[in-house]
Amino acid sequence: MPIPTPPSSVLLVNKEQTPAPSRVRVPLGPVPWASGSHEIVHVGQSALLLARPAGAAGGDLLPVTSRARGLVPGGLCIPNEQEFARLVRAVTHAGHAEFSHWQAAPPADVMVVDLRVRPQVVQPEAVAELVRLAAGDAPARTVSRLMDPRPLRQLAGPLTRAALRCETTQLGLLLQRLVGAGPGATPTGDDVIVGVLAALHAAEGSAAPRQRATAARERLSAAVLPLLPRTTRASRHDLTAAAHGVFGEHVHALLAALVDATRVPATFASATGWGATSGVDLACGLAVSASTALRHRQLIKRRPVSSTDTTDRRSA
Amino acid sequence: MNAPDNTALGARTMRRLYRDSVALMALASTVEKREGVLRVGAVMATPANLEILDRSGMKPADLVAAPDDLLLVVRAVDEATVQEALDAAEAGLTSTDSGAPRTERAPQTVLEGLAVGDRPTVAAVSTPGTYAPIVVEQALREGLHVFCFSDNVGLDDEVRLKQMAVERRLLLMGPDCGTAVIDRVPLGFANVLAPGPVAIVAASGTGAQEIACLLDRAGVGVSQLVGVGGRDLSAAVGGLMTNLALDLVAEDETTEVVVVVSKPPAEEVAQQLLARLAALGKPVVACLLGLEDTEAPVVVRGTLEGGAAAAAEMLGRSVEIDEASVAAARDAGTTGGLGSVVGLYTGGTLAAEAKIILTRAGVAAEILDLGDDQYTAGRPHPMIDPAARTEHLVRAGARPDVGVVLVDLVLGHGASHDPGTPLADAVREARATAAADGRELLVLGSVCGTAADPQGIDGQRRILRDAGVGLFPSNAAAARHAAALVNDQRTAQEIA
Repeated sequence: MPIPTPPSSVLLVNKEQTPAPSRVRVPLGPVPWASGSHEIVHVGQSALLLARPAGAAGGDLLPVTSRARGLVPGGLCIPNEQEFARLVRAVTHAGHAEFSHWQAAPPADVMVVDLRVRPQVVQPEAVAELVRLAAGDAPARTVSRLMDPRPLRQLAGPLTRAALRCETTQLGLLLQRLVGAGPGATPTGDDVIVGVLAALHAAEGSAAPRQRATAARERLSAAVLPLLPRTTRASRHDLTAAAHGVFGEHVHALLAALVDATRVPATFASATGWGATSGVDLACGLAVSASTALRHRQLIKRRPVSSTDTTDRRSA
Repeated sequence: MNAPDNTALGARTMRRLYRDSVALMALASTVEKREGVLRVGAVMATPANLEILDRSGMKPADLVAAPDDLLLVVRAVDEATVQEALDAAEAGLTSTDSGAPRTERAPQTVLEGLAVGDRPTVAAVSTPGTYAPIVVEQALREGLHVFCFSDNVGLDDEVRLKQMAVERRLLLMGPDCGTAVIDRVPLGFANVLAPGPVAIVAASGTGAQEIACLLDRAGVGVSQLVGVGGRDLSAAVGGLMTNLALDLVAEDETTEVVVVVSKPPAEEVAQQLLARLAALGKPVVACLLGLEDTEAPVVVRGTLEGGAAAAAEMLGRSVEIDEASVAAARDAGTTGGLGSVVGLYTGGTLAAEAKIILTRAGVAAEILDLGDDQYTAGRPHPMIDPAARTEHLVRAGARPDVGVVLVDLVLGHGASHDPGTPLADAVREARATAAADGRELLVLGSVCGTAADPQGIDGQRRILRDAGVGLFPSNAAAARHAAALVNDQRTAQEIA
């Protein structure tokens, strides 16, 4: 069959310096790029994970993502696929990324995105639907029990309850089991925690009293941070951001579905494509936590809460 | 390494290595299927995961690893098997590396591929459907033919991109294209086919595979197998790519006979297609599933088996459905205790063919295409991970109303390396469940493959036969036999 030979494609890239795209999306705050050499941590299908130079502000990692992945905390999203490809190619050829010249000649179009989660009034039907879909997800039968994320997902409810009820010992025990646990470069347990934190942030607009959800979120955030050395570099980045109320656009998409039940099926279907289990892990943590927070009003009525935030009911 | 229960345990630590979690899950699943391997884990070596491994008896005593290290652990029947499995797993993890740890070196985009490739002519696109149009358009603009495995691509995008491809006289195979063999290069799910005189233009992946494999058995090779995507002959797409593919195979000097295979096209498209085929200038078989067989103006066949047989006949060969092997398959099961027929297929067109044959025979059946979007969301296609069918088969065994289960087994590039074993295991479990309930479950099927396929067709057939599967030479033959059994039983009941 006569198959034409394509024109030989030549990519004109400067191997010394990372080319600046015409348009980027960045989170609120200082621009994420810094001077100095950024070591490559991982090159994935839709994200390039770079290590910031020692001493650079803004955390340990700089995730550079494509439109498909969306903007993530502390990261840099390049919406144009060709420009993303060009940057990835330049970085992989050079073996590192160098953004010094971006200071002088930054991308022409820099869109700033606020990745902080705001309290919102979630729709109980949407929460119930997301819980149902997430609970029904099962990995292929052949997946070893060692790689099965479901036992860890089941801890989302107890974790939220422990945070809401100020059960600090129980909270600590659950976090010991979850942080860094499960399959993936961002292990399942970490994704579940990120989902729970996102739900608690959002639930501040739904749960009553609001201060209780706020306190639960702060309590959980404070308990997670000391455990970060127990997990991977990528997860440390995500958990740190989540503890400070900042989440990737994919998490925002899940939260948006919680206020509109009609968006839940499509959003969940999309989440199933985020890594092997990460999307469902996040969705499960978020949905179960939101559901637990919504029900907590009744729990409060039945069970008075201690005036201090440090009482562990299990040990009391 | 320890062996507390006469098994062996081993681990390998990959320092500061990140891999996509999809790849890790698939790797663990694949390695766990190796003979003698009992359990596999591929996890980051965080303290929590080490505790899980410890509780599961999967943590070697002398293990030293940090949270950013990737850990492979294998328990197997002996130490040699452990080491072989670890070697295979490590090879699977590092196959895309070339001396640069922590960096995937395989091209990540079309432009990267063009830059590093040796003047490529075809781009294979397998991204999530939402993003496939971007990649396909980029590839077409770069002058590449495109094999688009991605599904869930919008119809508007398909029409727009195919128009763009036709303007450039480039093939856009897909979206949702399962198979192609272009100039002997297999793409997607493809059997190992000998070169020969038949070109297949297919709007149906496993349909094309079944025809190619039946032709192979008749000693007839394939010149080109061009997939066009399941919607190409819809009214909206209007056969844009089918027409271009026909232009190309009509010009192709090695092609003597052309087979077009599809589910029934839209009426207006069918008329245009048949007119186009009648004027192609080469002998043609239109294998349009479900249509009545006709001889003029174009040879039309309503089943895959019929399409293959007609093409072989045009070349003086015959696709013989060997009566002896059919009889052997019949003997593998009994005819007692029948209930309804359930089809559990990994190939969509094979499922459609079975349904047509059963319907024509007046037998109502529940035929599932387990490769359909509704069963594969977030999971590998069952031809890649055959265990996805297991739960359905086991469930069928527990249903008192089910007496016959029809299955397929598709071999070739892209398919699981050993699809027979999980299917055989599931068949045994289903049949045992039925037997415990005082029933007999009959499992009938066929293997779509060639002798040159990497899985080894004889071994795969043996695995299925040993599990009690009645194997037929073609999917159509298996479906015919199921229909005959049900009708025989119906007749017997009427007489009684």
